[in-house]
Amino acid sequence: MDPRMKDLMAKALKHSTAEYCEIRIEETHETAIRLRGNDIELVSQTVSAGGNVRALYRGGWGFVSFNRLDNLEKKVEEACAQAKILGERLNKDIKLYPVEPVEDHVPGNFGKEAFAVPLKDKMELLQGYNKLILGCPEITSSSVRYFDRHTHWYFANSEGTYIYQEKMDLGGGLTAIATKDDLTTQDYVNFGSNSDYNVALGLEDEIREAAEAARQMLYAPVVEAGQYTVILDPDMSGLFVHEAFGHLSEADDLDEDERMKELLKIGTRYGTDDLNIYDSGIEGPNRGECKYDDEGVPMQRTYLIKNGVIAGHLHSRESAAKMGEAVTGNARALNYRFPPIVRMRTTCIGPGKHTFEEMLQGVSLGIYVQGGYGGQTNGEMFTFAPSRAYMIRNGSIAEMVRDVNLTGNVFDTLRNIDMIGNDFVYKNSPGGCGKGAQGPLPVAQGSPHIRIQNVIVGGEKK
Amino acid sequence: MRKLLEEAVARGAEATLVTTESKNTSVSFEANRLKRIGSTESLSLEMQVIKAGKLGVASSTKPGTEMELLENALDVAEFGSEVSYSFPEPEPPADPKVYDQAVADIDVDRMISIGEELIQFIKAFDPAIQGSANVSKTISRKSISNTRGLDAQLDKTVFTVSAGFQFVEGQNLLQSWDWNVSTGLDCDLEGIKATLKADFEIGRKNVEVRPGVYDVLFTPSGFQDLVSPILACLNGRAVMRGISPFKGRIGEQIFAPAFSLVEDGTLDGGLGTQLYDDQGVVCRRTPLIENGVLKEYLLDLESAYRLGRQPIGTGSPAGANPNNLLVVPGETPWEDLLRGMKQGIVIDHTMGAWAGNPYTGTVTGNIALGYLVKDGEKVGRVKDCMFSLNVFTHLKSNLLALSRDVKDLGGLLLPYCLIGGVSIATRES
Repeated sequence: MDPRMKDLMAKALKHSTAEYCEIRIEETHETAIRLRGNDIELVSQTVSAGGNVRALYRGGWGFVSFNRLDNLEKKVEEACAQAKILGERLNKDIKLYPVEPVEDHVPGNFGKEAFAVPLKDKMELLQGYNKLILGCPEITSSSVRYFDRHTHWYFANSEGTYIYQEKMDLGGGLTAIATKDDLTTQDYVNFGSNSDYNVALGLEDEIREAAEAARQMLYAPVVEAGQYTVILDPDMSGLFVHEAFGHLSEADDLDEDERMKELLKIGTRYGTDDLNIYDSGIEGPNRGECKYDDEGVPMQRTYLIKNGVIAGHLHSRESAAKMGEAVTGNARALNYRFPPIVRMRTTCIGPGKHTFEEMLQGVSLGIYVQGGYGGQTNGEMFTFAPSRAYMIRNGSIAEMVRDVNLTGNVFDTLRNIDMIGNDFVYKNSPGGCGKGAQGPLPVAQGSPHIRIQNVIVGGEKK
Repeated sequence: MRKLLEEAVARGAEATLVTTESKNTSVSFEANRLKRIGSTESLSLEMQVIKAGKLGVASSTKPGTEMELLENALDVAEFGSEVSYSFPEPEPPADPKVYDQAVADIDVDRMISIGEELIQFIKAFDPAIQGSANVSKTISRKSISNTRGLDAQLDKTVFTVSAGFQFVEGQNLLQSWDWNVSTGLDCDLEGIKATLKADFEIGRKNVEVRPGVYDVLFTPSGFQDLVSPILACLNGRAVMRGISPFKGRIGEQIFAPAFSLVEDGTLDGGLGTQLYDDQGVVCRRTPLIENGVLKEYLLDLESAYRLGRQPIGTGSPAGANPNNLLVVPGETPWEDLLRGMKQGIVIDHTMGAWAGNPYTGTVTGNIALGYLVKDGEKVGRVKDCMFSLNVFTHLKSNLLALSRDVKDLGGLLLPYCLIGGVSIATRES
């Protein structure tokens, strides 16, 4: 860490009167570009700089965030005073999971640095993509979005940890929009990375494919509502595992709820022996992964389900201590305006043994869904929407259908996964995860194809 | 700041500078106990410049970097969008009431006691319930100035109280929450309590619902999923590009006569109220849909110019954003709408309904919290099912009633909405 920054943070931490105190300071430079149709909609550059202090006293947390870095010691005093107001009311002996203090300097291990690419080059690339989209048959408009961020992250705590990390994040979406009469359809190509601008290059073939899918969707019927066998492509499976089980494994929602703890007790079976689910900050390079989380804890791979049985949970230092489990490096904050909470990083379904052809066999009427457009969960139920969907009829991929949105009960659906593919891949998209007021937080997924029985599909009933 | 704008002019550019400063204080309760006190001071500066007919936008949260901000905006303007407009001359604004000294003055102890009252109320439902609450206040000042002489600022207060619970019985998870947000301290704590109590009492009983077509009473929270695609289609940029089905339909009856939608940036107590939009256009009240007839789009300066319309104070550099939106209420109390349902469903919270393509009008989502209604009474919770409808056709042909009660969801003021012919898909046993 830069000695001046370390000195600034160390001096401020001396003003702490709490049991534990930490300071996090960030500066992020962002470039954003949006093109729509024939227009450049927005080109912007943003500097987001600020910090926060978090303090713990007798079970109460104080949290202060700010843009001005002067008077940092006053911010420490303010956070400690807040924590004391609470701690004196609560008087709880809440410990944090012990972590060895560390001093580390982690420069970015980047491929092609997005922030070093001239704006002119980025514009030419994106305008080229946009022109390609608009030249495809029956495409009437487009939406091209791109962002990159370069962050300097500094962390210090009252236990003697001082860490600097350099981070990069980038993502984009290239959407083809087709319109005929009053119907508008769309399909997209997206990309994301925490380390390499090259993921934004060479997407021409995928763009042509997406534009053709948007065109075909103009003529596709709306899916008929009902209960189906559904095959999810790796992108969609990754979204499924994030929504359906990842959120449920976040221990800050379990650690004080005895019934939830019982429901997700280690050793409980929720799937077949082939089902393995893990969340990791070290698979790399994927969005949301880095060496340390926002509590200065090293990231790792954590199994949530191993051979169909619950094997672990995702933790902050507080939730790990409360549940008597090891810390996992999942305490993450959207930015300096927020305290860290338990969040996923790269969430995966481990590879199975089945081929895609084996999954199709025996499905007389089902749906094949591709591309994770979006999903949501409330703990017991989840939804996910694909970008493309096709009927499966008598074991073969059949016609495209549109307006597909699927739902399921978390516990039933995990048990209803009857085949897991052998074609595992990672997916980095430009979106992110939302929890509380903190979103979109960069995350990634990894999965093979999976097949699920008895999935409910919304839509019209004919 | 005036000096910065003068520098922009000296560099051959027009410019608009928007500065927002705010201070938020919040107290949070989790798992039935006080968990955190937080305070956030934030500053943001956004500079828009037009140079040689091209727009550049730069923003920063870093104090003392104003000149760097101007440089960044001028740099990106070289590659920015070609715009057809100039920043406007100042017009006299309305004088909306959005600042309440009582919000500024309320102290942390009082905020804690409000949260504790709610937590104690929730805890009394059952020993195993997990209650949460949040009480927060924000004091903000938004300033806007431009090279045409505009120089204005508006102070605003916002007071928010929210509470909810999670209750686990076996593999059954019941979650409910309610909130009240206002520019004043006029918080309806009893209303929040009544909602949570009713959800706890009825929501513990699951009932089977058959797949089919039902009358559905959307609460204001559920109704917002139906309003979202309408807003996407009203957006002037979508109209300008020909992807909105509302293109070229001003003056046409597109919804039932009972449906009216108003944008109002001048609303007293409105969460989205401001004097000027982010492009410097004075805010006003504009009917968008009146008695089902399309009257106006949501416009920024560029889309207004290209569509040949006057801007309405909903602009930003990237397009139009509404300030406050109101669906004009009906005349019947929502309880009477419920009592009048022979068989139907109440949808309060949804999941995933935002994930569709807004331009098709199809809205499909999971019913996260909803109830089966028989003979005017909620008889139990429906789970593991999806609702689906098309807002363009259902709000034209199947709109049965809007309640007279309205909830402010945060700049979006909606009544309850009763709609017929909603498709429900569910598990087949």
